[in-house]
Amino acid sequence: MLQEIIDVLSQYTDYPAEQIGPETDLVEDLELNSFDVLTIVSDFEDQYGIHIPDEQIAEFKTVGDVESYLEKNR
Amino acid sequence: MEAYAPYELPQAIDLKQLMNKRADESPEGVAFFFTEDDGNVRKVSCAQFRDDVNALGTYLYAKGFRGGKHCGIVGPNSYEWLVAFFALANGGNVALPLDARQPVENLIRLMARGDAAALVYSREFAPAAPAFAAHLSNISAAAGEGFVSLPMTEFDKYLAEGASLLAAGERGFVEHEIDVHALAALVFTSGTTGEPKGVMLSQDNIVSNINQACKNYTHKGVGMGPLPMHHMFGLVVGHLMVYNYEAPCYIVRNLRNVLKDLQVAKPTTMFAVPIILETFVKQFQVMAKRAGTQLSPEMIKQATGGNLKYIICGGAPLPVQYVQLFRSFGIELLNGYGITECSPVLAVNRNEDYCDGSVGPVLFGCEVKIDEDGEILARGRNVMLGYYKDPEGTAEAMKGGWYHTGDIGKIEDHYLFITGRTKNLIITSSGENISPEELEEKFLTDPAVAEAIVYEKGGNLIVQIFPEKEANAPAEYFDALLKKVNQGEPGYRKVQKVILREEPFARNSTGKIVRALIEK
Repeated sequence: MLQEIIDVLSQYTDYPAEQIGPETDLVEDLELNSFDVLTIVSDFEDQYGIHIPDEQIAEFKTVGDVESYLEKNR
Repeated sequence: MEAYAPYELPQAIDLKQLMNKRADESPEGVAFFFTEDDGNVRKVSCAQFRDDVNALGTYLYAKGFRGGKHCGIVGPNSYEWLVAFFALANGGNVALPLDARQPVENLIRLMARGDAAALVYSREFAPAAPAFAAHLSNISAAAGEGFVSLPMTEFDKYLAEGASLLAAGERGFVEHEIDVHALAALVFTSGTTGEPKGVMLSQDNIVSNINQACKNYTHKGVGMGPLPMHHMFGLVVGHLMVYNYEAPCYIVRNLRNVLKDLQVAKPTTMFAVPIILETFVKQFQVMAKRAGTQLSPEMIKQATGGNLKYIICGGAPLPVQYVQLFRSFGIELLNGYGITECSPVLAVNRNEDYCDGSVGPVLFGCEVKIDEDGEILARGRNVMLGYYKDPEGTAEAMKGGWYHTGDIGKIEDHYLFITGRTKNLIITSSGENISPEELEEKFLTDPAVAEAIVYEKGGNLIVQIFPEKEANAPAEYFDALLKKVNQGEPGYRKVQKVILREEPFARNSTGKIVRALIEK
């Protein structure tokens, strides 16, 4: 799961996948804006067949936050 | 490029006439359409829209909404939101469009400042409804009648009751005479200092701006504006202007679905802010990578629904390379410029009259001049009535009979260019206005902070703090302070990073911190 998330983020940001880990900050390190995060999460929703509430998306700070939510709820 | 004549469209007089005209002329025409929660696409005809507005308005009329009542509207974009706005406006009441991402306590404060004695709210706000009622029942506007809660989830019931009253001959709402110069919308916007200002707009302001903007830009086909309705750009341009073009308007109910919505709506014009286009470009690049190919006009055409010809972009500056990139995809990206106080549009590049790097020609019927300090001043029927209960702020903004935008610009040929700002306001790429002073004040109330300056870098808010030496607080203290300041703030207002300074900020001869000298 973590590697899949990293691959999507790497594709999206052009950051090398090996430099992205659970501690990587979506905004500060990957320079994603709030709308980037929304659309990427929307991709994950389709991929894993779940719905992630808007207020939950606002809580995602790191790659690890996304991973643990998807692991728990998929 | 040569100057073209204005596009000619019938001129609306007020919001009621705007609504009725299409319903009379094209009752079966699609006014709005949107994707429901179950994935079905619902289309609303012009006649249905009028029926719904008249039914809700008649229901509200019977509840005492007979002109001058202030009512908040809060919730994500929806058909119900628009029906509520028209039902309030056509009964001579005042709508307070509120930002659904704000914490409830902020919304309550704005409602109280705006004398709102009622609230229309979406299902997301149902848990907060008791708090609104409890805090707002005692304000003078609610005195005697109490606070009125109007959940959108109950609209079917209200519409049925209103329809029954109409069938029984109740014509008060339908025949209510509109004073086009009276306050119709109270829109809170971040000023340069302190609390947000309540911008007072009349129906004449709003409808004039629709008329003016429709002369600069012409549109056929589906229009789609994935911008929040509480923003005047989202409401007036993204929805009401499309309705005035006699075109179907697609309502984007959740921004995260906008790429999927493009496939449903198949718009010819999209109204956007820079952050949406920046993200689109990244998404297109991912699509190309996954397909193992380069970006091509054909790929972009498919990704945007197949019909997209124009994107009108406003709310914040957009680098010119995006204009050129979208042009290479076969889509003309036309930058415009507006401000809530001008209902909102002042200038926009035109279908056949545009200049890269500019925000286009000033709207027909609107005057813009540049003063001796380079500030852009505006005058016209679209300029606000003033700031609510703030005569000093109004006088300051309207010095000499011109609205002072706070933006620096120039007019070359007949195109307006924005070159800077006189005020410190931070404008994010999503078009949000953030007063740095408002956030700085929150840091400065902490005893460990001597000086604080907030600024934007790379799309993120950053605070530089010069600590109060005597407090001797460790770095972790300021990380905790950052969390505290961010508590409850919507994402776009969250400060992402603290930088601690060794030296105080440089100040000018009057003792003010010189923001331009701050190393970012």
